[in-house]
Amino acid sequence: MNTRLENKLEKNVKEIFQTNLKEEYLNPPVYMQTRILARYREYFANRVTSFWGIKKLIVPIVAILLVVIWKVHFFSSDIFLAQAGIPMLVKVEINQLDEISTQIAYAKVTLPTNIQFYSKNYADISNQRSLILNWETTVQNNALPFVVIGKKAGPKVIIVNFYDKFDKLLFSKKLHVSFNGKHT
Amino acid sequence: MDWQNNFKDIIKQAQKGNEEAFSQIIQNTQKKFFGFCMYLCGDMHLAQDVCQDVYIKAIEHLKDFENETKLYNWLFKTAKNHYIDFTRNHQNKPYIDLEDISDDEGNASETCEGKLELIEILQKIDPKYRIALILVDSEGYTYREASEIIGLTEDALRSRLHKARKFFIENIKK
Repeated sequence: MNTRLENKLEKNVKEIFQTNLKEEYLNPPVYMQTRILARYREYFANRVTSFWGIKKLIVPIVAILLVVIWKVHFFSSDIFLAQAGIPMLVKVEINQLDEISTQIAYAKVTLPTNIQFYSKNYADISNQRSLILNWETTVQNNALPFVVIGKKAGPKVIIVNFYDKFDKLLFSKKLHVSFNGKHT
Repeated sequence: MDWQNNFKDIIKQAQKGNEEAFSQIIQNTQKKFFGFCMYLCGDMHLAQDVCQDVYIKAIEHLKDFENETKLYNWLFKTAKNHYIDFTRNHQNKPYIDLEDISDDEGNASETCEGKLELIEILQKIDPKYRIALILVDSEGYTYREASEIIGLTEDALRSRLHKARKFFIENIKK
């Protein structure tokens, strides 16, 4: 290839692009951003950000309701007691996940029947049987928090699975909770 | 927040679900990105769809954008892949084959009937030549930068560009 000719060709083509620049090519419609932001909101509503609500929930729950907080030690198989009808903050300690924590992308919490997720700001969450928690943004003080409420007395098992970014299951944990009769 | 000086903070905030931060990302990049998509797709509605889909996909890749250059590189590359997937299923008219245009001096052997507008010419040629033209001659990327985005060696890129430019010059309406 003749370099001089190639440079001339390049210069000519670039000039054409510059002189043919049309304003309408550069201005996307306003509604495009609106649509993108709607999907952005939806993305986070289905993932973790609803659980930042937990931080805002803690004071009013403690102030208004009787809240039982249980620290669930990660490798323990003990059964923990809770009160049905009262929101319970569950904190899954993750200290012992250090070896795989860099691989974890998200955790999935799956509830059995008669337990619901609880959120003051996102009431719809109670209809979900499972919830995805983004690892990077949900873990606080070496624990993975979420709030549940038992609807009936009896023993229940909550499953917490940990996945990497390729959706591969890295670890699974069962939390055994026994709910006492409904608080009056 | 100032875009240039606070790029990393804005990206971090957007990763956490800060809508204003993500809105800033769109506002500061959409003009250039949409222009690229317009040249690539040749159709406003398709360009909008590609643009929109790529921004939405970007939500899951925010942590990969260490600087503005990497952000644009990712946007352009993803838009290219998106467009190529689309054309696999929807392309009706064949592209003009530039493969036989020699690297030597002389005219391109392939010509169109009558001279064409810029967008029309771009749509006539295979996307792999088109994107080379857009990145280097419209967006001002260096050969090295463009070859990294497309996934070619620099020599292969130069060869493609040469053929595309020859065809382009001979058929553009002046």
